[in-house]
Amino acid sequence: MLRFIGRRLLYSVLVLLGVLLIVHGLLLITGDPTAALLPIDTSSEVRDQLRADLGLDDSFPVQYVKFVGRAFQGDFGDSYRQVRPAFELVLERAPATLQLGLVGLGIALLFGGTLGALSAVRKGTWIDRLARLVAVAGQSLPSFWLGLMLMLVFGVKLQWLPISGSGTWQHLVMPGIVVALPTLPAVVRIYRSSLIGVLERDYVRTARAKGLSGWQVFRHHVTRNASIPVVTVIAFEVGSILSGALIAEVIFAYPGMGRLAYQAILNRDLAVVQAFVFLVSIVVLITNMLLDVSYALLDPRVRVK
Amino acid sequence: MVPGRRLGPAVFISLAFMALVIVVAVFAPFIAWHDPLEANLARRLRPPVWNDGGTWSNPFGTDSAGRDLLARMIFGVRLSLIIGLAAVAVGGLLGVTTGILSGYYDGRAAAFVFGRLADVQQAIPFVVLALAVAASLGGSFGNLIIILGVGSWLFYYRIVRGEVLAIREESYIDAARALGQSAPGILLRHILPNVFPSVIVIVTLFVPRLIMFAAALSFLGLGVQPPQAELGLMIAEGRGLIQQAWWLTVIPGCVLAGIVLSMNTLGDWLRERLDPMLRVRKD
Repeated sequence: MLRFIGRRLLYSVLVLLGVLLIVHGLLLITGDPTAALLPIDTSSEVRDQLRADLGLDDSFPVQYVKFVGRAFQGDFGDSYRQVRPAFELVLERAPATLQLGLVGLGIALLFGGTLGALSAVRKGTWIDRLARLVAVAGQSLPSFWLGLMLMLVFGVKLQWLPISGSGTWQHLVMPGIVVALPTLPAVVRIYRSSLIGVLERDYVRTARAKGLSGWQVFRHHVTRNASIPVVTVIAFEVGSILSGALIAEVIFAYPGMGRLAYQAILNRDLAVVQAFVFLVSIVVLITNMLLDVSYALLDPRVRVK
Repeated sequence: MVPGRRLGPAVFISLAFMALVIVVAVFAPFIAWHDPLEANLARRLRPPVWNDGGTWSNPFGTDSAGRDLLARMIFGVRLSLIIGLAAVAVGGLLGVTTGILSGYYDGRAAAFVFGRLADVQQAIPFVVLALAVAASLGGSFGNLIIILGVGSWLFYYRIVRGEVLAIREESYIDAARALGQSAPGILLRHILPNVFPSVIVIVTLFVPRLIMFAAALSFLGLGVQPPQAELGLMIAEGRGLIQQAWWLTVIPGCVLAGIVLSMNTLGDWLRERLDPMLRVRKD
């Protein structure tokens, strides 16, 4: 088991090295980074100085190795806008994004789970069709537009919810829905098909035969067994939840790391963008690793593969 | 009833809507009776025709520069379709080529490199990567296609590679080899046609998805640039005026959602028809 975890960890680190290659490449594909980082009227001495500071005079492999060394210490240089370490800035905003992501995930699981369960139990009825419609609609509504529409209806017209900022639970409702939207269809679909699969099992029939009520069977014998694929989906959707959080944060001026990164993109504050991409990838890699390890814990066959 | 055999109402409406959209996109210059870029401050922020003050000359109203919303949407739809199709072509070409090569030549260095490249890319969420690259390259129509195309290659790659790993063990591949067929011949004649159905399935999933991503990137200011007409960009431009001029955000958004919804509905239907297994599993 430990060997499996070790191998899996090593693999994640290797992937992270690749991610850093891309992150470092971001600096290079801007063409001349000093053009992006400095005002137009900067003298060429200052430009050369910056180029030396950024290590751009070195060959690419040397640059990359230095960059990796610094990155693993959380050093991406200073944000030139806020003159503070970029990674620190991103980390500071991470809890707000985590909170928003969890709220979004909660909404997706609650609504998606309920809808998936109802449509599995009432297969072929109008509820099933409704669930399917919600799934397709959820996949098709652009989340940035949905955010604006929610804002227009519940923020501007009805004035039920605040349209920007953070602090109270009301601030999390609309951004949370925007984050939940892309994940919801996957939850509905997977939970439905997995429930249908479990409902056909012999042990469910046995449970029913020994006189348990429908609800008892469902609660004790079906939901648990049907939930495992949902966990997988959540792990897969971490990336899309983080992407959704970025869009929601921008629309609702929610002070998370996605909004920070977006503003950094507009200001061409590359250090912050790099730190953000790095942190997001770490989150994705760790979730996937935990998923694999939990599989291995549950199913010994995985360890051998 | 076997789903997919008859056209349900949803499929029928989607088909009709997409046909309309495609006709409009193809013949955009002949259909729009205003120039999408022509500003006219005398008629700025005119509401849609069914509201007070609306006119038939601008059925869906005008934006803050007095540009006709309908004309901008017509050209915007055209741009969205071009971006979606071109990005899928780029991603599909890259993904299918690398997928076939790495499946057929499994174990060689190239297969390893492609595989690890896909692993790395998968660790960075699509939108995050697209934003970061768009920020570095600068937003433009061409860059958008490249970013979305290159960003989605790995989805084709993974599926195609998996299929090729199975196909190359088939006896007809051995037979082709025994008959002296060259490797490129085997790849093109015997393997490519057999992965085609799966590729079509991924394409039906990705055209609408990439259209939506393209609009999102344009909305965020990192895709198509003003004064071009593009649905995401139009929604972004209307965002600041959402209280005074709701039509600037609501109508283009409905059109965008309608296109993506229709494409997804048609895609679902097509997938069911192509895959008899899915048809059985569904019920």
